[in-house]
Amino acid sequence: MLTGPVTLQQWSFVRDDLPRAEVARQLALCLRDEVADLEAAGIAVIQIDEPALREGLPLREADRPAYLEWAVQAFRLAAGGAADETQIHTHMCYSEFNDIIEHIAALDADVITIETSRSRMELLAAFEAFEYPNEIGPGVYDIHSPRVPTVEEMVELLLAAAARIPPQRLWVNPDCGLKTRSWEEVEPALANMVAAARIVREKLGLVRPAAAPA
Amino acid sequence: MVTTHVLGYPRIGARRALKFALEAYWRGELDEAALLEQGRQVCAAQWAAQAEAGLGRITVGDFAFYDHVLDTALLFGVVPERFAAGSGSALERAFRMARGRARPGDPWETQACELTKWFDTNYHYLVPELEVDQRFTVDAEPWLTRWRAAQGLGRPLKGVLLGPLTFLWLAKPAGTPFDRLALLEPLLEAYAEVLERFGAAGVEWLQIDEPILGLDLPDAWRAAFARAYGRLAEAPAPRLLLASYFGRLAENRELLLSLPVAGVHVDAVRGGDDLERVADGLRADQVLSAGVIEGRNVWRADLSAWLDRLAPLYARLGERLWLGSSCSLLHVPLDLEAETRLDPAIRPWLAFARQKLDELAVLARALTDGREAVAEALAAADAALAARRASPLTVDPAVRERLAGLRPEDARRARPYPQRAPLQRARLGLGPLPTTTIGSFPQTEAIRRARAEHRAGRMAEDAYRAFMREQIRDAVERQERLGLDVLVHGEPERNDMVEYFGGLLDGMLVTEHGWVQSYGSRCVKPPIVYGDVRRPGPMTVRLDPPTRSR
Repeated sequence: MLTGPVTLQQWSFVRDDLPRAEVARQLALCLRDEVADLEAAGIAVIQIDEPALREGLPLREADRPAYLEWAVQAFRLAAGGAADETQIHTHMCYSEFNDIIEHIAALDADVITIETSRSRMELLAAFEAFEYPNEIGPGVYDIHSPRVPTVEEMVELLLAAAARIPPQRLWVNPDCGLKTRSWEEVEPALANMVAAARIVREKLGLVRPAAAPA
Repeated sequence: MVTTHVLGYPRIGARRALKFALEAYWRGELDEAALLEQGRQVCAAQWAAQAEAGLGRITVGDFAFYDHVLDTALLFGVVPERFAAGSGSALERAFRMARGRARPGDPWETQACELTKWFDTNYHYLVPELEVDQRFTVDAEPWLTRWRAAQGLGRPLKGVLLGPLTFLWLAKPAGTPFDRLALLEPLLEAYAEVLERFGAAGVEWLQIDEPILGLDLPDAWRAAFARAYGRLAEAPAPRLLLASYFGRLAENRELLLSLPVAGVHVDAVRGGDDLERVADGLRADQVLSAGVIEGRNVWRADLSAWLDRLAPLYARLGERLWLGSSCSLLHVPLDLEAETRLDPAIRPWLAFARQKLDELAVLARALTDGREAVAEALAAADAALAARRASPLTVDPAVRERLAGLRPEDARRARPYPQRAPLQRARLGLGPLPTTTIGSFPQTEAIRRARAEHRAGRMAEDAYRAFMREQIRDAVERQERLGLDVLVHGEPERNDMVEYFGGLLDGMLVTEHGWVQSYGSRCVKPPIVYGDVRRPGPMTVRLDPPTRSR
């Protein structure tokens, strides 16, 4: 789990004597080296988060293409050294990205997990209008609430997602990190999520993994 | 004399005093009277800092217990239906809107208002919800109470209020979408009433914030500005200082200049040549507030360069030139003096909110009394800037060389995704619809305590690492029991997803007390990137357990 170059600088006070694009490239190289070290240690899946990619978007339309160009390149520089067998994940915790979805696709992460809890309809509409080429994990429950989601509601959401995203490119996950919750909330919620995934695999006639532990 | 002011000041208090008071109140451990007292102390400290620095006008009305957009909504009675029934004080209702409940066991608990980013900053505001037939009422008492307290200082003041168009722009329809501008006329009547009350309370100048002037606005919204400010100009007092910030005015510059307001504020840091262009179009009775001291970053200002730029404006405008922060100082830490461990070579390069007040005072004196009147302060600023430009801390030749040697293919994986996917699935042994989580697991009390003990030097490095490894092992075991397909290490060692890396990279530093409000009581401590960034060694590897995890 790494924080991406765009977010690292968006949430820092950045020097004013060097263009932000250059600072992002420097940060990207640091992350690229970290990715290499993680691979060397045997890690097969590496997540590079960019929650601030959208918020860094300049206020004026005219300034956006240049920003998106360097922001996407910085992410790709951080991830581009990974072996093809290493799976790069990224996570975005906002849903208003209809307008930049092509740039998010250009990040070329193998898997993107997204926060969809509060505006599911809008988000899935974006995936109808633009076919996202890689794998997607639309969050199936809202971690910002202490409520434990039921198996049934997550089955329903997964089936809705599978209608828009080919099941072979669909992942099952909560919509954000779980650090603000307690284990008492997390464990039953995840148990229900795993159960929902099993039910949906069966309903869709997909092969179940051979070695899934009970 | 050039009038100096800021658009707003940090409101979390020294050492985040307000944060801790708010959280104690929310836990039910502090009563409302004590929280209100803490709020008064924060306001008093804000005003005292501005008075001590000798600012021409002290800013009042920028304080909020949770969020200034929420307070604007409350000022105009914009309270969603689901909060209308709840009993209790106005403050309790405000906290229900902000967080869903005021205190533990609140019988009126309900769904909180949505939080979203304030323009392109990391501050979040609560989105006001408007009904299609929204009625606006006025409750100016909280604002006026603070104003009257500030009057006790016996110094010239300036009020602050979010403007009607930015307020409508930031709000959202509660149900079926409708054109929010349809509510402008009734909202203006409420604003007019507020201005009348403010005027009666002795508010001479009111800064009215319209940062949407820095956006690409639809024509209907541009047209609404003339209507809105035409109506508000009917009030005899207060005089309005219309403030734009964050973005370039560009095509909205003529619009701004056409409005019947007593003064305009321009963000001179981000606005390109907006400052000079607005000065050219200013009417003979208008004030121009030049937002020259950066409210979004922590670098010491180049005072000499600003004076070169401001001198011709001062020659033309005289006392009609005001000097201000570019935007509110809400977005920078409070006081550099609180830092005890900063590299002495880097400290002089920085200016937090308190230092920025002094910078404004120096610029104003240099314009009115001549640069020689503040020769010492200017020389210190010049020397700090020269030292920073020449410092080897800012340039790492190895980093520059490596960047120059990058090839386009370095930003590309070897194979395209469709060819990578089967390789990855085979390696991971994943079936369809794999299950995973996003990376972090509960930050338990024990984890937070261990991090605090380690940071304070009371927990040895070895013991700390062993503790964290144990947490990771526990998280992995729980994930295996749950039957998740791709496991994560759970990030027990991460205090924050940016500060953690900022503390490990060369070219970045982490402050002790450089907190900035993100929303409500939540504060973040952004690291400072002062030089070329380089990774001195692995940052996450030693704690990450091997295989099938990230």
